[in-house]
Amino acid sequence: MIGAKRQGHVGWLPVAIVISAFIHVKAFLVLPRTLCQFAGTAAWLLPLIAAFVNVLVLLALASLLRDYSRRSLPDIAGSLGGKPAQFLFGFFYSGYFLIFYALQLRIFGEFVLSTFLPETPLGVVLISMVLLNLYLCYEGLENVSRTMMILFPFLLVIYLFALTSAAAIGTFDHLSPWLGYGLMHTLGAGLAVTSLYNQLFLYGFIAPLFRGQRQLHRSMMVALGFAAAVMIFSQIVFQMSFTIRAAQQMGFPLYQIARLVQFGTFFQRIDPLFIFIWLIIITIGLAMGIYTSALVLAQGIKAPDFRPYLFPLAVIALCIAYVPQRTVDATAINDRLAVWLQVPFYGALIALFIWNRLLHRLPGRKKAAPLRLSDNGSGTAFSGQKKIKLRNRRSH
Amino acid sequence: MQPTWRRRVLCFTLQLSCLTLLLAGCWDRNELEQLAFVLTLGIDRSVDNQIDVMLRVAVPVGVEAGPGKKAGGGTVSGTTKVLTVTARSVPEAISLAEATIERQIDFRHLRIVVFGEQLAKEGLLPYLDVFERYHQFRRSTYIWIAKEGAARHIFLTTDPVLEKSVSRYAEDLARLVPQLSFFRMATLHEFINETDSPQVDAVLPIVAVNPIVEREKKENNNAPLPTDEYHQQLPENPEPGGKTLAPLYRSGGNPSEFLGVAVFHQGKLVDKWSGWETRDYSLLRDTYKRSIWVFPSPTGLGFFSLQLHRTRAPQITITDVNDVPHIDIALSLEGNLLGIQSLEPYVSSDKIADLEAYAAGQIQSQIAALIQKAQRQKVDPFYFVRFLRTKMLTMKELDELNWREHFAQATVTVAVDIKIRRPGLRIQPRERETP
Repeated sequence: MIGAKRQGHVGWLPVAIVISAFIHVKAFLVLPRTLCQFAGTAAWLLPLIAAFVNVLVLLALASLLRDYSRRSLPDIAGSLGGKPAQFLFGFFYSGYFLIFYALQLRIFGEFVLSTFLPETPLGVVLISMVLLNLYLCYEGLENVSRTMMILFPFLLVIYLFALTSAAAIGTFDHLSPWLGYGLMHTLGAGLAVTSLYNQLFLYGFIAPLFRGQRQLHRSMMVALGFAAAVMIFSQIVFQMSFTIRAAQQMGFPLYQIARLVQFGTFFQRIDPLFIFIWLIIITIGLAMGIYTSALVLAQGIKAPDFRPYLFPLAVIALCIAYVPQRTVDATAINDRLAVWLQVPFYGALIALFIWNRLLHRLPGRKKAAPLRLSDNGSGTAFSGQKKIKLRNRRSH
Repeated sequence: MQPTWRRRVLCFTLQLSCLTLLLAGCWDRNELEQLAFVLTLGIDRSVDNQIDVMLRVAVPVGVEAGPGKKAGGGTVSGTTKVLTVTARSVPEAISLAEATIERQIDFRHLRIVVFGEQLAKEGLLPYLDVFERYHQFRRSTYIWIAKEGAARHIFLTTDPVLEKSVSRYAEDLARLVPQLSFFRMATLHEFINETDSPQVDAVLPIVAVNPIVEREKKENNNAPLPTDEYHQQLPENPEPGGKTLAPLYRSGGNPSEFLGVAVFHQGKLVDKWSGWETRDYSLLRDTYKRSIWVFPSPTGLGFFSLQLHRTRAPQITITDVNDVPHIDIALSLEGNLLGIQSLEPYVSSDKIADLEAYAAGQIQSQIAALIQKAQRQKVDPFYFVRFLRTKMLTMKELDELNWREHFAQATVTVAVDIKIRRPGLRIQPRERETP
């Protein structure tokens, strides 16, 4: 099992932060504009509504994982529905994360070409980013999360500084009328963008890497809370800075916000500084995208390691990234898929949850054996799953 | 070497090789020596429905100064060069200009865009799209309107008193504006935001060329006119500077002067307001910081001057919105007494209140007159609707509110509260000599 032992335990905080970065990639691209198109001046409420919905989803996920002693979701699907269910589950979620990785990669590439590298071929930007993503995630989640923890204080300070400076230019009036297109419309739009936090599903695949259920639960909630807080704050600053009509047509909103800030002669602009944190968060977030896709695929097909799938999936992602012919096509596909694919995305989890509750929690049924660390104490996702599988077979 | 390590080293080497291939050249390399930085841009209506685009390009050699080096004459014209290109659109003008300059034109240091008045009357929005779209332009660029003339005229005559750097010139003006309030350094971002708001009208600063100073520069070899000749240039009863749109009566300095704003409705210039009106506008729009006000003495014997700061944001309430709205405005100012030219003993607890009340009355009447002027034009650059929209729940309510029509019929009451906190370093003025 090449490399499996290198994925050690993960801390709840580093994982929460790295998953927040994973969630925040879309906010750095076109999400603030999309939210304004969905809900007008009430767009800043959408991440809040979606966060409340996601609390329920996370509670269901945590409950499911607790019942199966933090085995991965494909593994749980396999326990409930056999190998075909596990394969379908893994294949669907891997494809889902891969498609969004590819689309976000393309939008990122288009952004780079539209702003500071207009002459560079798109392929160079995309391939460079993919190679960087592969390098980052090759050593697993623990590695990425520790890298993120080193950078996190700087990123947070600069990010908040940039947004706070921009907020000083804006006005609160732009947030009104407070309910945008209406209360029901806003609530509906909030539900339609529930997938804002779909990256939190990664917890369902990395649960074996946590030392205990409490840590997993805490990490989930901190990731959701932190991601929601940053996203709401970013959205509020964006809306304060632009009128709703302008916001609905704004290309790369957060970058535009950073470009508005001007400090006069001494410290003229902050956008060069902002670009660095922007690139770091996007790189780490995208690395998490390809990592999740490879991890889930490996879990779905019961492969011992995710690493062999990284490169082939990256090649497929590059091919998908080239499918949209224009930037507007890429963003339109991304927005449409984000809304429509969330039905099967959340549906599969809910089906699993209900199946577990109704059919597999019958009186006298034995629950899965608790996760034990692998012999060397590293407790990896794969080694842990494999042992549980063996134990379950014995118990049945 | 273990097989795992071998594979890892191989993978790493492969990745590095790929990166080496990809990063072997830099498609977007920009050497400073190969760029021509445009610092200001002017756009005017030209012949045959085309536009004249003026580009003021920095000449870095002219900016350099130091031991053994001679700076470019210490003027803007020494550190920059102006090109004019006639074309159908701004992008076309840029591409044509590049054909005449030996370096690649770069707009990342662009600070000011000046539009001619004629083009402003026709509408600016078609020409601003490129500024929003092209990545080298920034929304923090300042936009000016050339008063009663062409932007090219401003370009050819501007000669700052001290600065030779156009960027610093712009920054200095931006810093100065809050201290005067006769002008508004509006950015492209502010203008577009105001234009995009359906219930607000935008304003942009107007820049004029002073005829006396311009003549001095042209005919008198940049030397000030002799006093007699200067006085001949003045009308018999000149209005106080800034009260009207007339040029200031002055000699020497920069031919460009910054007084007043142009009012836009849906991107088209509809009115121009003087420096005094701009100051009143900034009080209502809540962009006012401080300014020096000069009022005739209540007894009519002379003048007194106040430096007034904004105490708090204007308190504005709008009632009966759907019928005949009533706008109730309360402004609070405080400040220092700068001078009592009439030499009357106003600096006492009971008398100073007379000055405060008199000044408040003067400002009230100025503001009321300005609002009436805006009502006649059916424009609301004061953004009064901000006090209504924050009470609304849905965008439909705001969109259906025909605010300009309501505003045109609205009744307005203005109350100004002034407190002269400090009399300065002297209490009562010396006694006035009786004739």
